[in-house]
This record gives sequence, structure tokens and C-alpha cells, in this order.
Amino acid sequence: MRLVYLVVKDFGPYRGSHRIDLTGVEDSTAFAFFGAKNGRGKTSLYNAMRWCLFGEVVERAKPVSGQAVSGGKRPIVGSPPQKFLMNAVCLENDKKQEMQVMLFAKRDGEDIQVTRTATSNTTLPRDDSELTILTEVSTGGNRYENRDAEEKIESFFPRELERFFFIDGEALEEYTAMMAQSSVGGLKDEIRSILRLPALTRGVDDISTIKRNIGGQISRQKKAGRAASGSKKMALEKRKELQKVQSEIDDFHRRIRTTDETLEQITDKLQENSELRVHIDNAKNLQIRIDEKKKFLKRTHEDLVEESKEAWKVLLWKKAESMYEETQNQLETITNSSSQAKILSKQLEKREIELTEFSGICVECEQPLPNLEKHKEKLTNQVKELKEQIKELQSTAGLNQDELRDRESRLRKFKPNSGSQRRILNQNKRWMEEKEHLEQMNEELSGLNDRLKDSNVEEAEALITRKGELDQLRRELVNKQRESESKARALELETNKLERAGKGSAIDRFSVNIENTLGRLIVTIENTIRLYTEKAREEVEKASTNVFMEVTNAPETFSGIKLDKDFRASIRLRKGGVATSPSSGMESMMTISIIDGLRQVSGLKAPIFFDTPGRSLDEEHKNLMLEYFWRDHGQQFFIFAHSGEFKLEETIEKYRDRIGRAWTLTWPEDNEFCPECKSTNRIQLKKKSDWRCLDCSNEWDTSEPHTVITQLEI
Amino acid sequence: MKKPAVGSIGLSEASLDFVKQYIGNEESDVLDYVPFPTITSAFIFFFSLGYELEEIRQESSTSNIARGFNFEIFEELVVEDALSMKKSLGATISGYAEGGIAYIQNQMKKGNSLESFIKGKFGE
Repeated sequence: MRLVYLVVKDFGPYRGSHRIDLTGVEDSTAFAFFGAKNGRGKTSLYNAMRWCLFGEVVERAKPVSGQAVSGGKRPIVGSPPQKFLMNAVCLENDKKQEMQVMLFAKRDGEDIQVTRTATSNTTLPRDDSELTILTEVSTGGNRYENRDAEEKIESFFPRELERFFFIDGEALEEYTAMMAQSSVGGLKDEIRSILRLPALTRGVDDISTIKRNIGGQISRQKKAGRAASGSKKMALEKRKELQKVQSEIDDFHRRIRTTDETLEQITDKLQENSELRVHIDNAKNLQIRIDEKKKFLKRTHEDLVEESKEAWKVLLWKKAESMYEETQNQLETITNSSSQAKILSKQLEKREIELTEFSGICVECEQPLPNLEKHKEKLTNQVKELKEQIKELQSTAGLNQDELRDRESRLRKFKPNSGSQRRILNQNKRWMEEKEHLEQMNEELSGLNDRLKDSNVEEAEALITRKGELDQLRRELVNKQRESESKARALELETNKLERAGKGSAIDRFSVNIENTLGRLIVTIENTIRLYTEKAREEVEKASTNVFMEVTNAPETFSGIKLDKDFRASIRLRKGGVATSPSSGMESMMTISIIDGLRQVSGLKAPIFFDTPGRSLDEEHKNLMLEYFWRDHGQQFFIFAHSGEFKLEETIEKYRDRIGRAWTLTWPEDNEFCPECKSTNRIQLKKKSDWRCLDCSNEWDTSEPHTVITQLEI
Repeated sequence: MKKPAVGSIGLSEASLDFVKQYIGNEESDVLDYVPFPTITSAFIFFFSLGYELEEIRQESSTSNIARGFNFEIFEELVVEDALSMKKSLGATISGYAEGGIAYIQNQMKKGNSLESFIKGKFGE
């Protein structure tokens, strides 16, 4: 696979869209060079390609107990000081945040386009869960999305080989330390990766899981076998118990049948005496009614007694009432006479005064009277008459009023309450009616009993009583039978279960055979893995040695790389043995050699990306490394170097014949030309960091940390 | 005004036995007509009946009843009779009670009963 174009949009320091044309490095003899100061976006560009292909950027691995432990996944969005992938200005300012990287490549004459886009679902995403990631791959006239696209990428650039092609110079020391340590993990895992053995290992794991399951099953069968004998014994006991319960059920059946037969006979007999039965029933019912009636009559009688308490008053009052009224009349007469006497006394007093003070003048009209003597006589007669009347009234009023009042009070005590007579009559009447009714019922009962006297009542009653008893017995038997049947069903189930458990003692031979076969298969695969790993180790050692001998600055002292059986790497000495304390630069060369050896053994044809390759290397080693990698290996080689490693102008000058394309990554402040048209004809604006191009009128802010990619003339 | 002697009330043995049949007790049958809870209440009833009917009979031999009963409440009614008959209040009242009993006994001889008598008397 060879890259043709790279487009990054709002990724890291790359604000907006940036297109890098790699057409010049399509030729296998050319390489690409990205030079820049620290912090200008070399690693970001390197990471953009990784993100595009693999969907994530994992921080540098760290060796922990001899094993390379992956760093954390760098998020797409976040907030400082956290590192994140999306351009910070885009994240803060854009209404719709979107980060995108596109790779255009050719593989076996076919165009491939890989596009990965992260689009915000909200106005200001705070974490990656608020983003939608779309992965697209177009190849061979077909377009694939997301999972299909990932599978397609995996087919031409396996993820597990990433580290042999994306080489991080800053991680070389850690890589070296890892290779020098334990045989467990470390380089051994790397070799297994290039052999694509993890998939096979996962297969072994799967088969082992199946084997374990079958083994567990067999183990359970064995355990069940041991338990089976116990179950069989318990099953026998339960079976006996079940037989006993079934025998009880049969007994209940038999007793119910017998009871039914007896009941049938009784019913027949009772039907024969059906008329008698009616009489018996009637007599019983009537007796019940009589008992109720008696209770009612008793209550009625109690009411009668209560009401009768006033009966004597009703009788007495018939005579006492007239006495009472007479007394009342007398009292009234006395009261009236007394009042009348008072009135007449006043009149008398007036006439007597008139008579005593007689002057011949009328007291009414104050006129002289015509006949004085006659008038005086008249007054005298009036006085006399009044005196007689008053005397008579006083004799009436002179009766003993108190005595009369006492008499009235005593007589009033004989006065019955209002309605007493009616209530006594009604209650008496009611009691008599009820009594009559009860007597009729008694008579009726007596008639019925007379009729039953001559019949065989006792036998019929005994039959009815017996029938009742048998009905009750039958209900009890049916209930007990149901209980026993329920118990029998439970016992049946339990017994069957125990019998099955008792039979389950035989071990499934087929399962045993499968387990054995899987065991052998696992051994075979593991042996194959071991064999392949050993073979690969030899090949990696050989390839690494070839690389190392080309890049070392002491080919006469060293004879190559040694990977021992525990996969620890060391540098061989020509005089025999291994270098015991090689320099860090020498170890870096060893590591690069092994990585390239691994790459070669993997057989994958893909571009190599090398970030900060010259770190910790001396001048000679750097040159030897470039000489080696920039040789025609049939692969594209992308190098991301800072100015401390390789001087841009010197490198271009020295390797002009091999460099296909070269770019410099700068911030606006690094340049004295317009970022758009590259014209140096510019003027500074009011704000010191603001500039305007006089040729294209472009204005830019040199304080912005936005990377500008400038292709260099070769 | 001259007052009669107070005396005491009582009934003849036969009248007392007759009265007792109308006194309810625990042995009374539900069909028995026993409208009086005590002998005193029955005595008052029969006195009232005799007085109302102006039936008075004097028995020679009497058994005292209800010694604690204050029969003087009837003085107002019988005082003149007592004076005219020159008898005590108790003897006069007892005479009316005997009269009431004799009347009912006569009614019973005619086929009536106390309850039917009351029905007729109170239904007037």
C-alpha cells in the first residue's frame, strides 16, 4: 500500500482543512520528510494517520514488570490541560464541531480512500460520547461504512502490526528496556503478533473453554454416578412409601363405594316412605315455627304486662274523673267569687262615700240632682244590695281552698297517661291473636303427630340420621382420598427423579472422547505455535542482524543481534558472546533493527512512519539509519523529524536525490511570509501580531498556534 | 269532718287463690294469661274493677296482703263509702277488690275470661 494524499481537518494544531500531496513519493525510491521545530505538529500529523486508520490514538506504552502496558486512549474532545485530538479553536468556536482525516492510497493498482470523521452531536461536546464517529472506506468501486469499513482497513493494515510501521522514536528506550527483560510477554508477544498468532491463541483459548466445559460435564457425570447409588436406595424407599399411599387410596375408594351403596339403599327406603318423610319434615318444620312463635308470644306478653300497669287507673278514672272535674269546678268558682267580691267591695266603698258626702250634686255630671231624697234612697238600697252580694260571694270563697287543691292533686294521680286504654286494648288483642295462632299450630302439630303415631317413624328418623352420618363420612373419605392422591403424585415425581438420578451413573463416553481429542488438538496447536514462534524468532534474529550490521557504526566489533530462547535481545560480539553494557545509542540501533526485522518478517507491504527517528542517536548513527531506511525497500518512508535531529536544509541538500517530497511545519510567527501566497510583501497592523499581505490582502494573526504546512522545493 | 279508721287490706283464701293464677312466675306457661307481676298489682286491678262497677262484697275471713302497700291513696275515693258503711278504709277497699274478683268469676262462669273481659271493657 502506498499513500497518495493526506487531508487533515481541525485535527490538533491544524485549524481548517490541510491537504498534503504525496504523489511525489509514490516512487519506491522516494521518501517524505516532515521537518519542524518542537510543538509544530509533527506528532499530530503522525497521530492523524493512526487515528484515520485505527480509530484511536493510544499514548505511548510503558514497561511494567517486563511487559509493554498500553497507554490510555487520547480523547477526541476534552478540556485543557487534558490532551485531546480535536483542534481547540474548532471545539470552542465552531457551531458544528467536526474533525476529519482522509487518506488516499493505492494498493495493487487499486485506489483506496479511508475517511474518518468525528462530528459533534451537541453545541459544545464535553466527552467523546457526544460525538458521532463515521468511518468510510472506498475501494474497488465499493463503499463501506463503520464496522465493514474497519474490517476492510484490517485486511490491508492489521491493527496488531501498527507498531512496526508507526515507529515512535521517543518510545525506543522503553521498547529497548522491554526487549532486554523477561521472556514472558515483551518481544515474544511481538513475534507472535507478526505471525498473526493471537488469533490462533484465541482459538486455543476457545477450544480450552470447550474442553473445560466438557470436562466439567464429565466431572458432574462422575459425581452424579457416585450420588446415583444413594439416589437408587432413596428411590426404593420412596417407591415403597408410594405403594403404601396408593394402597390407602384404594382403601378409600373401597370405603367410598361401600358408603355409596349404603346411601343408595337408605335413599330407596326413604323413597318408599316418601309420604311419611313429608310428614316428618312438616312436623319438624312446624315444631321449629312453634318454638319461634313461643319466643314471640313471650315478648308480646312482656309488653302486655308493661302496658297493663295502668289498667287499674283506666278503670278508676271512669269514676274518679267526675270527682276530679267537680273539684276543679269548685276551685274555679272560689276563684271567680273572690274576684267578684273584690270588685263589688270597691263599688260598695264608692257608694258609701257618695252617700256619706251627699251634697245634691251628681258625681257623674256635676249637675244639681232634681230629687234628692229619692236619689239618696236609691244609694242606700244599692249599698245594701252590694253588701248582700259580697256576703254571699265571701261565703262561697270561704270554702277551704287548700283542701280542694290537695284533693285535686290526689285525684289527678288516678289519671292514666294519654292513650293507655288504647294501648292496653291493642296489646291484649295482639297477645290473644298470637296465642290463638300458637294454639292452632300446636293443634296442627298434634294432628301430625297423631298421623305419625301409627307409622314407623323411628325407623324413618333413624334412616335420615344414618343418611346424614353417611353423607358426612363420605365427604371426609373423599377429602382424605384427595389428600392421599396429591401426596402420591408428589411421591411419584420424587421417585421418578430419584430413579432417573440412580440410572444416570453411566459416564458419557462420547464426551470423554471429545475431551481427549480437544486436549490433543490444543497440544498440537500449542506445539505449532511454539514451533512457529521459534522459527519466527530465528527469522527475526536473522533479519534484525542484517539491519543492525548496516546501521551500526562498529561492524567489525559486532556481528549482529541475538534473540535467546527466552526472547531477550542483545548485541552479539564478533569475538563471541554478547555486549554486556552497550551504549544507549547502540541499544537504540538494536531496537530499530529488531523493529524493522519484525516488519520484514510480517511480510506486510505498508508505508513506514517514523516519528523523531534521531532521538538519542549520534550523527553517524543517524546517517547510517537514514542510509538504511531510505534505501529502496519497496516501501514508502515518512519521517517526522525536529530540527535538533536533522537540519532541514542540510538533510534536503544531502539526500535530495532520494527525497520525494519535503514539508516544513510552522506556526505563523515562524514565517516572514504570507501563509496563503507565501509573499514576503506584508505589513504589520495595529495589533503587533496581526499582519496583512500586500499581494493577496490576506490577514493573519501570528499569535495563533495554528500549524501551516509548507511544501519545500527540492 | 269525721274520718273512718284506716284498717288493713286483705282477701279471702279463695279470692287470693283466684288472683294468684294471674301472677306470672318462672313456671308460667307461654300460653298463660298472667298480666300482673305481683299480688299487690293484681289486688289494685281488682279493687279498681270493683270500684268502677260499684261491686262490693264483704268476706268474713280475710288474709292480709301487701302489708307495706299504702292503700290510703284511695281514701279520697272510698271515704264516704267507708263512713256510710261504718267500715275502715282497708275493709272498704278490700270489699271492692272482692267485688271485682266476684264479677270476673261470674264472667268466667259465663264462658268469658279475664283477657276477653279486658278486651270488651277497654274497647268501649
